[in-house]
Amino acid sequence: MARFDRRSFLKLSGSGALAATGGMAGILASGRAPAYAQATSLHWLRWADFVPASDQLLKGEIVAECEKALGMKLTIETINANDIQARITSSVQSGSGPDIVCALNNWAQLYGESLADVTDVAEELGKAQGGFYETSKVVANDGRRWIAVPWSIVGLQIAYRKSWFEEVGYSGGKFPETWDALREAGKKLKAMGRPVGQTLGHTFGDAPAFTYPYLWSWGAKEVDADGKSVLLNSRETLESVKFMVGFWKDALDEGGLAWDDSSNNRAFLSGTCCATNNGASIYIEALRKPDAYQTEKGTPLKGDILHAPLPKGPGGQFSFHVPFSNMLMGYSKNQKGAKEFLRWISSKPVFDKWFTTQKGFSVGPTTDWEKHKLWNDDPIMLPYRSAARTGRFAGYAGPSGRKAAEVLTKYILTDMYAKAVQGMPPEDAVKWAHAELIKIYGA
Amino acid sequence: MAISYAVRERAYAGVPRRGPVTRLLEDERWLGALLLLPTAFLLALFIAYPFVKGVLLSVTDARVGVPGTFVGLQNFIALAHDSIFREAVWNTFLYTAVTTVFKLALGLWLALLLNRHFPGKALTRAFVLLPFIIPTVLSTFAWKWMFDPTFSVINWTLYKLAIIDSRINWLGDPQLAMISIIIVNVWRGVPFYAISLLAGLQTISPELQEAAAIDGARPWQRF
Repeated sequence: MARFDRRSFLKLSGSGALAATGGMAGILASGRAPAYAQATSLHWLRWADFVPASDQLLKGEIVAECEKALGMKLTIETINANDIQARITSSVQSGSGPDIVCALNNWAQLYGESLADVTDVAEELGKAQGGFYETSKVVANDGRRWIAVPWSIVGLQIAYRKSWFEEVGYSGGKFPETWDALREAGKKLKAMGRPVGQTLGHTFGDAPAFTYPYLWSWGAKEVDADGKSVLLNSRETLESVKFMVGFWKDALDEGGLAWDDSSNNRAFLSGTCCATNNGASIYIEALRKPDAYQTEKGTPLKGDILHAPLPKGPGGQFSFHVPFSNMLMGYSKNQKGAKEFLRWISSKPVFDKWFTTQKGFSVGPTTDWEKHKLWNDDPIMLPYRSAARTGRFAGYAGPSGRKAAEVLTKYILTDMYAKAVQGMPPEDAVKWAHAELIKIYGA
Repeated sequence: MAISYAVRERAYAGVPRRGPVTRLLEDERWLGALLLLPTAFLLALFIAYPFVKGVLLSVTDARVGVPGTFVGLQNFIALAHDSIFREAVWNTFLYTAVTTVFKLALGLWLALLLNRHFPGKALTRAFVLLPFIIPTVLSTFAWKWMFDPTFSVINWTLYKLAIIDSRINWLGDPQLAMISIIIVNVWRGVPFYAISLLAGLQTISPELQEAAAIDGARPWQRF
């Protein structure tokens, strides 16, 4: 056996390391990553859809069709919605990443400088399909140009148990129309162990979709129409906070402070809450598995679910829906191809396929999709058809720009209600939120 | 005599000629420095560079995608006035202090118990380490479910035992939420403290304990 001493071992490993360094140096010297990506490929980053069938369609049929129609290899990546902002930030800072990112809410406004101008694509789309909803427009347009192409809107309505509300006096499938009425009904139901469910936690969908229209329904608003003066600390806001504190204790599930976007779905489907503001995912899930989800009487739950808009307040009735828009990243090396893709994917025949798999969970960004035939399939889904028409967005009454996006991302309004519910005097909670807004709006 | 000659000749014949590079590598100081180089490079790249970059960024007003200008300590002054920041810092101090005290106390107690002789000693010591070895993601998911506002198994158990009659809001109530995460962290950290302290305890010679016992020292005095 040959002697294998320390000297020979070091020689061996040293030469191996040298070879590796040489190879590494070669790659670094060329100044580029090894060429794996081709110019005719496109990387689209989206959220993991709450309707899995749609993601399956995109990753299967749509990818194949894109190759045929546009000659581009499409890669679709789906991640948890809460992680999208982190990916956008790291991609922008490093200058490489997905070519198109499907952003939620008004996140696009936060990254305006890093996005390509898509005015041509967006204007075409709006004209061809009956005009955009207000919600879609304000989040994708920064006042001077379009920074994203609106994709869809997820409508939110209150899903409620028809039979339980009948027991407290709302026969024929009716739902309380004012906050006072809901508080009364909720009080009776909570006493039966069936409270109303609403989250006041830091979650991107359900929390703002409740707190913002709730605030507006009392006649309050964040800023003035000029977008400069903060008007949050007002009598109307204080009234809304005081009511919320009582409403919470009387009628709502107090665990809601720790709920995320899926908690209310689970609570409703397991029969522990009587009503909750949500997208259509609860009803769609009950349809998918009629045997798994049953009422306490043994009948399928899908027969006991109805939808209604949020109740009216002294200031009116409003709603908040979650818009989705496709941002074309400025660092993308495939600008022309990406624009072609955006035109193609939002066109009637292609979007129709995706829209159908959503079964009404999403509406289109334009009014034309209200005429689609799928709305005739299920009357229970009808409230979602035109829900987007009454939507306002964050930053009302000012533009829904970067400052509004910051307020939304920091959950300031949601925290205002959460703090009050947890014991902070309403006046202090409102003052705190007002101060936070001033820090952001600078006025 | 003939044998020693043969050995000496073999020794001379087997030694290769040593060049300057080999001589350098033979010197332990140089070799040591060379072997440390890859680690030093990795540390510099993944720890030192981000840290320095972070400090440099903190004195500018840069935003995502927008390079900023130097603004001195403005960001830090703004943070000092920010109530959310102050609350987060206070929470961190409270959390760290309480968990460390509990982990130390419980870890020491566990170490003292494990230091004795009893049947199954080795198995118990290995078992005790489980909370620390289980991947954090898994244990966090399990605890999150146990504290779930609607489906908490702890609430369910206490309810069935008729100890409570309404749900405990583990994660929704501010004080309970802090207590919940302290519990989880202590659960995870006690084995690590216990095993480390046990290693130290094991180095104390048992003869010292016996001598002290013979001299009449009580358990606390012995400790």
